[in-house]
Amino acid sequence: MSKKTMLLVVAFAILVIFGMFALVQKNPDGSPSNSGITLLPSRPERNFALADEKWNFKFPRDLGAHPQFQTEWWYYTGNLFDQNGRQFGYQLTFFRRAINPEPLTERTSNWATNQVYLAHFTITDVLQKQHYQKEIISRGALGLAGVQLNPDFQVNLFDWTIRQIGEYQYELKAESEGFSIQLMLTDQKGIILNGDQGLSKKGPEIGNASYYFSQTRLDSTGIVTIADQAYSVTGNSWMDHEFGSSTLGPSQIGWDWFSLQMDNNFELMLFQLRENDGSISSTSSGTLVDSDSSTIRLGNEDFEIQVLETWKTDDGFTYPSQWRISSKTEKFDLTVTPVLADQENRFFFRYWEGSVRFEGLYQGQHVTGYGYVELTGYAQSMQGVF
Amino acid sequence: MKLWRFSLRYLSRNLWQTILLIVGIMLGVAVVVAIDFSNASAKIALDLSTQSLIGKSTHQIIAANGGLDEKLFVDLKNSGKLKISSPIVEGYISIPSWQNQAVHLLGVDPLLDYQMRDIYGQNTTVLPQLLSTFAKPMQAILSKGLAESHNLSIGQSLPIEFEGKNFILKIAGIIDSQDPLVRRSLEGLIIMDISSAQEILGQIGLLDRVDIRLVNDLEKTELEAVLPEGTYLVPSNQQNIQVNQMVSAFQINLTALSLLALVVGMFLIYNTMTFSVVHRRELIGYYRSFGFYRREIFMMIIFEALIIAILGTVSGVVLGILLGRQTIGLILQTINDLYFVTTVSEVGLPISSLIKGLILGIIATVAVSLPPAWEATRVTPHNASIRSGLEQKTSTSLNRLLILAVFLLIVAGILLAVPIFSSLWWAFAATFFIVVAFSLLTSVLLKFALPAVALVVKHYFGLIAGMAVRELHRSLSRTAIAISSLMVAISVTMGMTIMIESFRNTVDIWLKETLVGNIYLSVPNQFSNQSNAVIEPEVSSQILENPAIASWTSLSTIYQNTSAGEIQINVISNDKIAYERLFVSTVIPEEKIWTAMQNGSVLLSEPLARRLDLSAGDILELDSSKGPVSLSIAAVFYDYASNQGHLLIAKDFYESHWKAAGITALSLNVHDGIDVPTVVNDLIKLNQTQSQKLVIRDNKTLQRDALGVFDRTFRVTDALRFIATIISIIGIVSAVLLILYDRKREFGILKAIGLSSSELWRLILTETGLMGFFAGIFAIPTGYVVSLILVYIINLRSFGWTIQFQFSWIYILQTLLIAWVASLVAGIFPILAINKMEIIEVIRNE
Repeated sequence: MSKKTMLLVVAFAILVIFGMFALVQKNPDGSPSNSGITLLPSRPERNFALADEKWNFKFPRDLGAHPQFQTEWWYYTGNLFDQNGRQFGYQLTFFRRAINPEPLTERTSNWATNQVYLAHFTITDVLQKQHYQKEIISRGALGLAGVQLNPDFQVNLFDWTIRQIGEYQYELKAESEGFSIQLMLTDQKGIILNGDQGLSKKGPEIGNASYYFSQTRLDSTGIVTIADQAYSVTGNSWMDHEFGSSTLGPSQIGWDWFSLQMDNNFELMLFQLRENDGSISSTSSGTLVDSDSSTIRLGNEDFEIQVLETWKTDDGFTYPSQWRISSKTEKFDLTVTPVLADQENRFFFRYWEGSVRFEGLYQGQHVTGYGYVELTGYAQSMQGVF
Repeated sequence: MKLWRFSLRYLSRNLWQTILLIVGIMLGVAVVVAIDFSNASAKIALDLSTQSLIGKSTHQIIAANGGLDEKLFVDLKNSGKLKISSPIVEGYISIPSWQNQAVHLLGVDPLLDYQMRDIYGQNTTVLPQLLSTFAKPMQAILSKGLAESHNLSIGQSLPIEFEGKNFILKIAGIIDSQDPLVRRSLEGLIIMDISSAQEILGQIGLLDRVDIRLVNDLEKTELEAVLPEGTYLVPSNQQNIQVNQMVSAFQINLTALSLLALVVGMFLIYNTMTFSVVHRRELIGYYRSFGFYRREIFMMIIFEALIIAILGTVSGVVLGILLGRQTIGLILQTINDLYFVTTVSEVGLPISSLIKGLILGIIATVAVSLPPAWEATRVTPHNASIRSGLEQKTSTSLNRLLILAVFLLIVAGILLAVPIFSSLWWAFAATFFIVVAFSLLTSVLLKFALPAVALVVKHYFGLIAGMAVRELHRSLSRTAIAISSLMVAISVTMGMTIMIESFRNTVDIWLKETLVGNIYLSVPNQFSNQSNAVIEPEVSSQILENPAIASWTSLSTIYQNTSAGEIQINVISNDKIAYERLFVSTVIPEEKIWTAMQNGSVLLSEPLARRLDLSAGDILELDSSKGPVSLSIAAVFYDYASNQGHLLIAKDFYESHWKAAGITALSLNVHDGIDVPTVVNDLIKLNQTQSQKLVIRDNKTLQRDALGVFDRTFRVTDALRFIATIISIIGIVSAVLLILYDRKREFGILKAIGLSSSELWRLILTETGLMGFFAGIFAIPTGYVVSLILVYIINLRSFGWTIQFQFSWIYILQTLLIAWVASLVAGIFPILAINKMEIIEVIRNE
């Protein structure tokens, strides 16, 4: 064979092999462009009702949902003790968020909805220094999640439920992997309207407000289960129900909220809204509930919250971790301490919600008690979330 | 001195021969690679299509007959019995503007589904956003690939069709994944909210299934305990396994047929390599006298084979990929027609197919070159120039060939008859042995028959023709191999032809027997011939008002899940059903079948009876909401609509035990004397004004359409047959070329002693024509046996269909003609070459 022929054969072979690889290479994988889902940009809905004037509260109607408002929550927190005095804190919260305020028309599927529900369930085991947490989410359709008033008030998300079983009695149930709760709540004080007859202003703009009422002392008995170990418990719970459409003003990043149940049968609710620049919003306020359920409104100027300690998360966010709360007008001076530093909830949004113990003076008398504190906007701004 | 240079020189000197060899291998390898590649791709497409359905679920809750009440899901979820779970509503829609491409519409609740599928990305904050997108009706999310290939972007609208109803979707999102597997499983997928999916697919209140992820057996037992009657908890991959089992039979069939094509190619290589050794005996003798060792001679031949093998195989693999790209569409179409709708069509190239093709081509070529290489080592400088020695040896080994042939036939018989060898592969191995045995017998028979034939030919066709036959006989060492190789090539082609034609003929008869109504109505469904789409009652009642209609019967197709897998149930109102089916077996006389069916007897199609291992007279139990119902099988009938099969049950009986099912097809009979096409046109016109589009066909059109599906199914087989034919033609041409080339000198002498040009023409053409003729003659019994195996064993095992064997002389004539014409044509070039030669030049060496 001549050199030429041989060259030709070799060239042919090379060509064929290259051709083959060209064919193999036809699908170049791993161009890491967009991963996940790109969605049609959604315009913020502007047609929701605003909390811009006083609400004519009627119960049990207003225990239910108000879909004309964008956001609503039913918040249950409490401190419970077994017969040996072992303390558990719990939180069971249902959030409703409307996608749009329009009623569903021309939809035949029962799955059609414009409501999303989230529920957060946590138990703080003080002795074991554990904070168990679980979040679930569902559309508000088919009874998978939602609020009913017939025959009685009930809010649920899957099998997590709170339902009214008597005039002042509620049953609370939630179960997650490794921890669960089942409580009977008895309302001791009735409905307490916060703010101006239930209208709770959050910002200077009209409508930057919510309707807000509480049940500040719910006598609680039931069972807490952690890792298949059941504990018979008693204690007190607190209920908050709030609804509105534009809760935070444009410069506000989060809030610190306190619910304290004093051993003299008084309760204190305070919240302060924090601005971008670190200052406290003038619309911060509170409610002092007397043992006879009468209330005193506290304005921003009526109280002072001083941070004594801070706690840092493992990824570097700092939360306040001890406070001195005082009021010259109502004459109290309390030191509030979390029962456990790490009671941060890492859910769709991140916030700290935990059981606290306090002690100090009220009207010159020594008081002590337990409560719950919520701290938002420290690890993630609440702007646009609520 | 390097002996391999001799090899290269030999190959380049005999360039045409080398090219033919390369092309032969190339085609053989190409067929195998193309089929393997498209089979592997089809399997990946199938897996990906089912994977997007399965997600991370371990189990599924399904209902016995399709729809699962959504309230059941809500109850289970709200009682805490279901942990990670996702309700699914899904279906196949078609997109008119994309040539009616099938697209899988997956209706999910993203808030429940994100734990089940990897498609939502890591960032869960997309979920509330996703839900707000989904809150609006008809908003859909497309895969990036799907959107890009059709130039669609977010915000555009996309008209779709489902069961004859039209909807307009709005593209609200594009989904993509970095994981190539996930990305491919997204191909052909439209994700919508479960609410919109229910509305489009007409599944209000119903779910197709609930995907669940169970962590342990305890959860499973607990869940099973609370599931109501008529619902099942099944492993998620069950459907996948079922589909794969059915598809694999079909695929093995194709693979084996492609291997047969390669076998044909190998015979040709064996033939050519053997010949090239025989041809070079003298030359090899010289090499030996120069002092080369036997080992070196052996390596030289193997090296030659290797060069040809590499060139042929590599180009075969490339051609195979190109062919496979075409074939995959056909194979997927068949899978869609017969088994399961796949939505993934573009899959990567399975490297394994390339490697398989390379190894197979090279090893097979080298392997079949081993005998000639050994043969070459036997050449001594002394016996090199004596052909008689070789011919002598050929005769003595004939006895051995005969024994081997008988042995192979016995082995093949055992493989086909003994039940433990019931796998398809054994059946194909048996086919292979039979083909080899027949090719050995061909050599033996030629040895004995040729002298007699020579006498006859001489007597009737004169001296030259007789000379040609005797020449064949004399040079049997080469011609026997050539003829039997050709025989193999032709017989395989013939066997495949007879099988396909028998099948087609059977289907044709079956269609005529089964489709006796004048007009048929059904819901359009491009992707599957097993539609269970329901005709809307208002649409059908309006159509049935047409005064031309004398009578009508209805068919409702439903799928019921049983412990033996999904069963297609056809609920019929046709009281003449017994006269419109051909029965494999019955236990009740035809005239009493309908009465028996009214009381719970059912008819099973052959594939279903085979799948469930039931026969006429047996009892089949089906679950109903009131508990199991025992159905006695009155008869088993032939059916070729699907290889999963179905059962026929009387409408009245069905509705007394199960919920009435919507009508999926109507068969109309018009009054005598009324023109059917006119009625069809009237009905089509009426239907155009109705809310649901229907397919309205007279029975001839329907028969034609059904045969169309059949032809589509066999297009790949047809293509294989075609390539096998091409390979055999190449084989014939190269074999004849070689033999004539070898005898150049002899022809020169013949010319020198006064043979005229026309006599030479006659001599050569008779010889080559006879080779083709003998190959064709021996191919007839071989092809016949091959087709019998394909029809009665392989097809039955692959599809569960009994085909009526149809043997027509036309196919035989066709085969003979191909063999004969190809060999004649092959003779023309060498004759032209020889005629041009100067006699002196040819015989100079003598």
